[in-house]
Formats: sequence, C-alpha cells, structure tokens
Amino acid sequence: MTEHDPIEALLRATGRRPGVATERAARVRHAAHAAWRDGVRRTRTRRAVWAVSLAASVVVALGVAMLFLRPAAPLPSGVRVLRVTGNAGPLVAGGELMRGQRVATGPGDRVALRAASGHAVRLDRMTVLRVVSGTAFSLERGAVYVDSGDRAAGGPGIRIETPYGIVEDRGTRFLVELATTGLTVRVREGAASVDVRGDRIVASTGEVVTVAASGEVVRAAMPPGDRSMDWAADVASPIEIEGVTLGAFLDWVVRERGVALRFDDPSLAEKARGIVLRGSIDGMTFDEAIDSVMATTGLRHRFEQDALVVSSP
Amino acid sequence: MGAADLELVRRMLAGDERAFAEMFDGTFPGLFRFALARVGRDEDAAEEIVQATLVAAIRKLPTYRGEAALFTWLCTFCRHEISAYWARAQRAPVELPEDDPLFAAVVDAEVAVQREETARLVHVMLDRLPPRYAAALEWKYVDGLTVQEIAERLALSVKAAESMLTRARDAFREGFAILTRARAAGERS
Repeated sequence: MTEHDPIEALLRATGRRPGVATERAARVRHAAHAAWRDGVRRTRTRRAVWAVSLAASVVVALGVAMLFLRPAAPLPSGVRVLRVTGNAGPLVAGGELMRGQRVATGPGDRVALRAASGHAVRLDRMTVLRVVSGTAFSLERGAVYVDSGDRAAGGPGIRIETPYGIVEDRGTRFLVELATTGLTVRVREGAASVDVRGDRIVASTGEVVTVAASGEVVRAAMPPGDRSMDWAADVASPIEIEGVTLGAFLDWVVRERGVALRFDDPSLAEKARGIVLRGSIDGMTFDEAIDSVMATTGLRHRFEQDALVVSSP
Repeated sequence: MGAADLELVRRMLAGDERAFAEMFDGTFPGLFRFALARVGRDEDAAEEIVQATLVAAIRKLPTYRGEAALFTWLCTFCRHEISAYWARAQRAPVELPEDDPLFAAVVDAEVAVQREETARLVHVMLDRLPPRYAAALEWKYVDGLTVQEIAERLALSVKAAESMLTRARDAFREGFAILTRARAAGERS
C-alpha cells in the first residue's frame, strides 16, 4: 500500500470499472428474478408432492407424482376475468387464466381479475401482467390496483413482482405502478410490504413508497386529493342495487373512489339509510352509475378533494 | 470463494431474496462487461445474452457444485450464449486474448497502464474477484477512501476491513500473476 505498490498504481491508472445502465440492469434483473422464483416454486411443489407420495400407497403415490410432475400443458391458475372495458384481446368475463399467461391492455382497455384468493386485481391502460400463480403476478408494464376486500390481514395475500421490488398485500387496497425509472406503491388503505433486494418496507394508509432503478427507496405521504387510483373504480364490478339502500350504495362509491362520505345536513344520513334503490347499474361507467342513482333519490352530490358530499336540492 | 458461492447458491435454492440480490448485484455488471467485450461493444446484444445466461444458469442452479467460482461458472453459460449469438448472426466471434490460455497476454504493468486493453484486463481481473474484494480495492485505490470509510461501508471493524483488503490485494496479485505467466508462455511458444 505504499506509493510504489504496483496494484495501487495499476488500479489508479485504469480507474473504476465501467457501470451498466440501470434500466438494462433492471430489465435483466426482472427476467432473472422471474426465472429464479419459478424455479423455487417448482422445487417446493415437487417436495410437497413427494411428501404426499411417500405417505400414500405406491400406486396412489405414482399417480399423484405423475399428475403433478408432468411437465405438461399450461396449468389453470384459479385467476378469473371479472370485467373487461375496451377491447383487451381475447379476454372474456368469467374466463380462467392459465399460469404463465400474459394479460395486456391497450390505450382504451382496462381489465379486472379475481385472484384465486378472492382479491380483486385491476389492470390500468397500457399494462402487461403475467399470471405466475393464483396469488402471484409479475407486472411487466403499467399499473395494477389490488383490493383485498373484506379479507383479514394474515390470510393468503397477493404478490406483485416487479423488476425493482416485490409488493405483497397485508389486507389492503394499493396501487403498483411500474416505469422505466422505478416502482411506485401507493397505499389507499391498510398496509402493503415492499421487498427491495431483500429489505422489507411496510407502507401504511396514505403512504407512497418509491423505489428508483438504482434501488434507492423514498417514503412520503400521499398528496391530498391524489387521484392516481380513480381509474380503478371504472373497472370495478358494479354492485347489485335492487333492494339496496342508498346508504349502502354510497358506502360502495366512497370505498371505490377512496374518499370520505359527508352529508351537508346530518339528517340526510338517516334519510339515505331509508331510501331503497331499484333497477340496475350494469353496463354503466362508475360516474354514470352515481349520476343515475342519485337522480332517482331527490338528493344532490358532488366530489370535493377527499370527500363525496351529499346535499339537499 | 467456492464455499461462499456454494452457500450463496444453497440460500438461493431455499428461496432467500437477499441471496438472489447478492448473486445478481455481484455478478451482473461483470457478466455484462464479459459479454460486451465479445459482441463488438453492442450493448443491446450484451443485455440479451446476459439475460439468457442468467435465466439458463438459474434453471441449472441445483447442479452447481462449487468446483469453480460462481462467476466462472456463469461465464461458461455466457460463452454458450455468445456462441449462439454469433451463430445466429452468421459471423465469426470476437477473439480475446484471455479466451486462449496460450495467448493470454498481459504486458508489464508500468507500460500497460497506458493501454486500453490492459485497463480492460484489470477490470476483468476485478470482475473475477469476490464482489466485496473488488469493491474494496476500487474504493481504496480509485476513490481514495480510507480504511475507516471502507469498514463503515462494509459494516466491518477497521481491523477486519484491513484484513479483507490484504486478502483482496493478494487475490488480485495472484490472479494477475497467472495472466502474466500465461502471456510469457504464449510469447515463448
């Protein structure tokens, strides 16, 4: 380590090794990571199958092993298409997706899926999502919104893999957006964890976690009036309103839109619970549904920054 | 190095995310440079080759026995992908000195530092070291960090960092000496 040290002289003269563009690294990392996760999953499946096989009779064991180890045709995933807006290729509401299948939306399409666990997974426009399993997806482009509904935290969760990190739900509603510059996770309600190169960050209601292509993580509060998740309501499955109270309908609206419900006059809350709706909102957009329903109630509504406000005429 | 790589692979096979990150961050830049030098500096081709390399190698991960360093093992997959690339392009591959042990040429360090090729070979040598060794050498000699600062980056005591730097220097010197001897043998023949 003296000034005559040849290693020191050599390294100083040649300089640092040239780096690789972060976007390139991210793309390769994503592909390698997906291959690795698939391998780990297959290994675990094989081990589980063998454990079952050993416990059963030879004949049954052979049958089970052959059934599960067959390197065969695409396997059903348990993920179903709930709703398609626009023209997202050959997808049909009610159809089941295969493991490994990619769902791609164009500039005018959105798609809602139901994972095997029951979670809603909604794809925004210009999104590509690969089905890894019934509860795991690989986001290759665009944005997905996850809604765990009424499922309690701790049950089987949803896993969204991206080149920059893996996002898992913990009983929540959140948005995962992928860009060439990195990953953004916005938690509307509940909590979601983000694994970045082995480090786990848990984001809670109202938080935004940004993971840059370099791996740098930034946490921030979601700005007031953030509308980045509004699109998810447009592809939500409409509720059956026949016989439902206006109060229940409004609860659905504010949940999907991620805002609070406010009444100009407290007595209107009681009134809303007493109004029973008739008909259907099938085929309507989210905004059309609200306008149509409210027009039948004799009440007015308006969206403010973070609230749906119901008022008298 | 072999035992550490074997342990890293064992953790990867068990599904450890940190192990995947360690493997990727430790080998990807070196593999990219390895491929880049062999595809005429075409970065898109290098990316495609390294991606195919890692996907293929990961599928074969259970067969890794630690007989060679993990990076060396990955390079064998990379060479295969590079050959396939040139076969598809129907062109002759780029020949590099270090690919032929009889022609592995490294000129005298004091003269060679002026030459781009030697700089590349120094980088090749660094890529062949364990990532922490290579990073520590660059921090120390290129960036001018103190041992104390290197220790902090690696979450080590100063004494442990000094010891690691010594091992890194020894490993670099030994590897470079092998290249130098190979060159001398090539010149004699």
